[in-house]
Amino acid sequence: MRRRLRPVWRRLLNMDYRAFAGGVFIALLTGCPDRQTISYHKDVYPILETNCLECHKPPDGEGYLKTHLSMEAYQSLMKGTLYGPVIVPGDSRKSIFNMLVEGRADASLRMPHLRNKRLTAQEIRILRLWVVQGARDN
Amino acid sequence: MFAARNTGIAGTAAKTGCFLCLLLVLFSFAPAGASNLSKIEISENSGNYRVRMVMLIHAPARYVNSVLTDYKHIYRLNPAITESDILPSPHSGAVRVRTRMEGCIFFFCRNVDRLEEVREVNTGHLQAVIIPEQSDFTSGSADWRIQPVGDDSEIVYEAQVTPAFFIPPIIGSYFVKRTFAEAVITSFARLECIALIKAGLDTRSRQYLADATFGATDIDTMQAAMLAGEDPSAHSRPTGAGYKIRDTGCDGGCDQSGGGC
Repeated sequence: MRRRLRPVWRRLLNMDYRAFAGGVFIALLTGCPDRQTISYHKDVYPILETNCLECHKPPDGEGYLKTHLSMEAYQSLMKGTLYGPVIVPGDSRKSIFNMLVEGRADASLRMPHLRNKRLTAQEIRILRLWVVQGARDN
Repeated sequence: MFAARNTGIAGTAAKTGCFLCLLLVLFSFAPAGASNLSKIEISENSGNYRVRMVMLIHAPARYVNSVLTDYKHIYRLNPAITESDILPSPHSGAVRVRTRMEGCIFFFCRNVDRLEEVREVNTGHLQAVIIPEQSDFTSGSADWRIQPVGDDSEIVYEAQVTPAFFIPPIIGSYFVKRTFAEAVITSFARLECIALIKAGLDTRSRQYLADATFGATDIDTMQAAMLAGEDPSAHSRPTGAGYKIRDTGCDGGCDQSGGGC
C-alpha cells in the first residue's frame, strides 16, 4: 500500500508544481488586468468630469437638483443622493452608481442622460473595479 | 438546476446556503420593521411559503403608496436587488416588474429572478402575481393594503411563493425566521425613510409655491383660508419664521445597509 502511494503522491506533487508554474506564466503574459489598482483621482474623476459633472454639479445641475447627488468631490459622491449612498464600497453589484451606468435598472434611468451618451466598456470597467477595490479616495 | 450541480457534503452545504439566500430575498419586496411590526406569520406547506405581516409605518399613506408604486426605483427598497426593469403588460392597468436579487450566506450566493405582474386595484391596494415562465418560482402572489392611521400608515402584507429550485427540507425554524426578519426589517426601514424624504420634499415645494404666490404664508393656514373662501395672503407671516414641516430625521438619506434614516 505504502509503496504504491508514494509514487502517486510524488506525481501529484510534480503536477501541482507544473500547474502552478503554468499559472504564473499565463498571469505574467496577460498582466492580470483586473488586479490593477484604480485611482479615484487619476482614473475615476476624469470619467466623472467628462460624463457626469455637467448635470451632477451644485447648485443648478439638472441631476443635482433632482437627486442632490454631487460628483464634484469624492466626499459628495460618497454621500450620495437625498435617499442615501449610491456606492457600497467593495460591492459593485449592489452599488446603485454602477447599476445605473451599467444599465441594470430601467432603461430610462441609464446614466449618463446627457445627449444619450454612453460610457465605454473600458470606462464602465474602471468604475466597477474602483468600487470593488473599496471606492477609496486614492 | 443549481441542485443538480452539487453532490456530497459540499453540495449539501451549498444547497443549505442557497436556501438561506432564498429566505433573505424571497419576500424582500415586503417591508417590515421590528419596532413597528404588529404581527408576522410565516408558514411552509409542501414547498409553498406563506407570509402575513401587519406593520405600522411612520410616514403618510399617500407617500408610502407612491414609493411602492415607483417601480422604476424599486432597487431603492432592497439592497439585495442587483437588476430591475419595467416591462409592458398585455393586460391594461398592470405593469410587469422584473427583478434579480442576490443573496449570500457565508460563501454561498445565488441570484433569484422574478417577473411579477403588478396591479393597483385601487388607491392603497396593490396585487402582484409572479409569471412562473420567467421566474425562479413555480407560483407566487402578493397583496398589499395600505391604510392611513393619522399621519402614519398601516400595511397589511400577504404573500405566497413556491420556489422552483431545491430547498433542504430540514432547517432550524428559529434561524430561518431570524434571518428572514432581518432582511424584511431593512426593506421596511427603507420604505419608511424614502416615504418620509418624499413627504418632506413635497411639503417644502408646496411651501415654496405658497410663499412665491401669497408671500410668506404658512401652508396649512393658507389651505384652510382658501377652503373657507378667504384671501390666503391675509394670513402672511414674517419671512423666515419657519415652515411647519414635519421633522423627518432623514436629511442624511437612508442608510445603505440598515435602511433607516
